[in-house]
Order: sequence, then structure tokens, then C-alpha cells
Amino acid sequence: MGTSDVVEAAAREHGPALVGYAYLLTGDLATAQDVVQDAFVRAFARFTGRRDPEHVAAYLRQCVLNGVRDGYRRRGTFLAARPRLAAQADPPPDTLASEHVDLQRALGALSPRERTCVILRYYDDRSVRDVAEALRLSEGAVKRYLADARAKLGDRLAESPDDVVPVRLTRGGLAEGRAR
Amino acid sequence: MSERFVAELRDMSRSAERVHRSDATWVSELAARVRRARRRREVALAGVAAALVVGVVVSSAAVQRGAPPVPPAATSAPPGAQVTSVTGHSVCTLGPVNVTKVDGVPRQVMSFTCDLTLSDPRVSGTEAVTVDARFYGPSASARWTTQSAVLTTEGGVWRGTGSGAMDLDGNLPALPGDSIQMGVLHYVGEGAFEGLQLTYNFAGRMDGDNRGYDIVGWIEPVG
Repeated sequence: MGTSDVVEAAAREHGPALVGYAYLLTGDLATAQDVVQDAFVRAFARFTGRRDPEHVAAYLRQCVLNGVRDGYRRRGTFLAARPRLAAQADPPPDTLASEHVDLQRALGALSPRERTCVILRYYDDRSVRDVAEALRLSEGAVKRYLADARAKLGDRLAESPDDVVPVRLTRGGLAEGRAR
Repeated sequence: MSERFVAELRDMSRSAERVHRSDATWVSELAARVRRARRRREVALAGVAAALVVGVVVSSAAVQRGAPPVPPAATSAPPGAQVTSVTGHSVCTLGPVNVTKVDGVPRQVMSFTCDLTLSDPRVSGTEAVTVDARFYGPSASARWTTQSAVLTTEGGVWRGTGSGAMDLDGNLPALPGDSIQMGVLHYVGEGAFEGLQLTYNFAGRMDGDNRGYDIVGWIEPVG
């Protein structure tokens, strides 16, 4: 089996789930498809056949997350604007947009970082520490993004003790974090 | 409440999967992109290896011909010295990695164990290198210096220092999708190799926990 066959087989097997995951992270199907393609290119451009097939899916998923994370860092302004642009435009005539209008609108109110933190924390069920490591942020920053996201999402999200920003009271006021 | 939210997310993800499956060209476009990236990577890696080889061969040739001395680059053999060129490769295994931050900069102290197969038996052996890598940029690219480097061969031991750079994300424009590491190591011989020094350049890709590098370098008297 040549490399192209391996790539196509992996794309058919793992591509749809990865696109679905990337769609949650980015909020835009075309962007999600691009991010996943980038992940495949990154993974398979140096493919030697030695990688354990069982780990390919996990590796690709990590590549997708890295791509989203780094994309926000490099093209933050552009990507940050995309959810707002999408929210302002008329809903496209596909079933994807019409099926989840409320949820898309709610997620569209989040900043890219808030959205990524929410997906990793609640959808992936990762700990705050794991989210912080994956996004190369401090745990305090992740908790703040989650707190801000919860405020925007209203009663869609319940708070868990792990998500609360620790607050230390000093004479000068709050030393760290914000009271929630 | 969160469970319902997660269920909504799951539904939305599945909807995206369903719409994506109807895209008939995505897989073929992807396969074409991978083919192009692999071609670019092969050409680029060949260029890196060729550049390193040319650097040492030119330096060596200049020494042998007694050509007028030219200012040596830091990574090429000095003219006028009794130089023995060495070439070959190494295969490295990544050991423990200690992840911390220094002044907000992510730092990884990585330990590699490498098998060096070089053209001169005096410098073929097992190398234990610990590097201190600092990830200054937004991507997984780092500059590193050695904390320790010991090359043990059948004839004796070499101890040294080194520095280099790595790009784990494969973001270099010339090497899309490929992670690469390159650097220079400088060793001083001990015991039977007292009075000799070894300098070598290496470059290669990092693939999982096993890394293979091309090496070109030289052995020369100290001083």
C-alpha cells in the first residue's frame, strides 16, 4: 500500500470525525476542513510507515488542536472576526446551519480562546490543567476564559469546582483572578 | 445542564461530519497536498544534507590542496590544520523530558541517547546528550544548548558542548509539515583521544521518539 493509499484510507476513516471536532473548535465548516487537511499534511508529509496505526487518530486530533491553537495565535484577528461575521450574515441554506442556530449563535458570542477552552473542558472532558497544557496557557487563564464563557452561555453550562478561579484577598483587594 | 450542552455539541459535530462526507473532492485534494508536501520535504532535506556535505568537502579539499586560507565559517573545518573529515549518521532515542517555564518561556530539558555510525571508528559509539531547549516563539520551535554531551567509543571518551535549533511543528516554509532539528556539537577527547577535538554538524527530521540525523564533521588536534 503506497503512501497515497494510506493517506486516502486515513482521510476516509478519520477525516469526518476530525472535521466535526474542528467545526466545534472553529465554528466554520470550510475552516474546519482546512484545519484537518493541514493536520493530515503535517502528519503524513513525513510519514514513514513506522507510526502505530492505533495512534494515528490521536495524533491527528492533536495536530488539529495545534492547528487551531496556532492559527488563533498567528491569524487571531481574522479568525476572531469569523464567528461574528458568520453571525451577522444570513444563515446559509444548508442543513448544518439551520439545525443548530441557537447553539451556533451562543458559541459565536465566545472569543476563539473561550470557545476552545469550552470545547476542551466540556466536550473533551479534560481537566483544567490538561486544557492549560494543550493551549500553552496558565491554569488561571483557562479558568478565566471558562468563567467568561459561562457568563456568555448562561444556563447552558454549569460551573464545576475545578473551574473556579482562586481568589486571594489582600489589603489592596483581589490579588489573583476575579470573584465569580 | 452541562450534559445537555455536550449532547448539543455532539449533535452539531455529527451534522458537520455529515455535510463533510458529501464533499466529494476533499479527500483527493488532501492526497494531492500530501504528495506535494512530501516532494518539497525530500528536496529540502536533500538540500540541507548536500549543503553540509559540500561545506566539509570544500574545507577538506582546500586543506589538501594547500589552497590559500579562507576565513572559516563556524561550522566548517579550519584550513591549515591536520583535519580528518568524518561523515555518517546517528539514530537517537528521546528519554525523559522535564517541562518547566523560565521567565514565562517554556523550557524542556530533553535527554537523547544516540548511536553514532561515522566513517572514523574513533568517533563511532554511543552518545548521551542532554539539551536545554527554550520555546521562545508561538509555535513549537526552540533553540537549545547542551547541559551535557558525552560520546563513548571503544577507544575512549569525548566530552563536549553544543547548540542548535528544532522545529517540532513543521512550520518552516521550506519544510512544510516536517519537524526538523539541526545543530553543532564540539567534543574534546579524553584518555587515548587526549589532544584531539571533534566538531560535527547534524540535521534531520524528528519523527516520534526515534530520530535519525545526517552528520558531517571533522577531527583535528586541539589548539
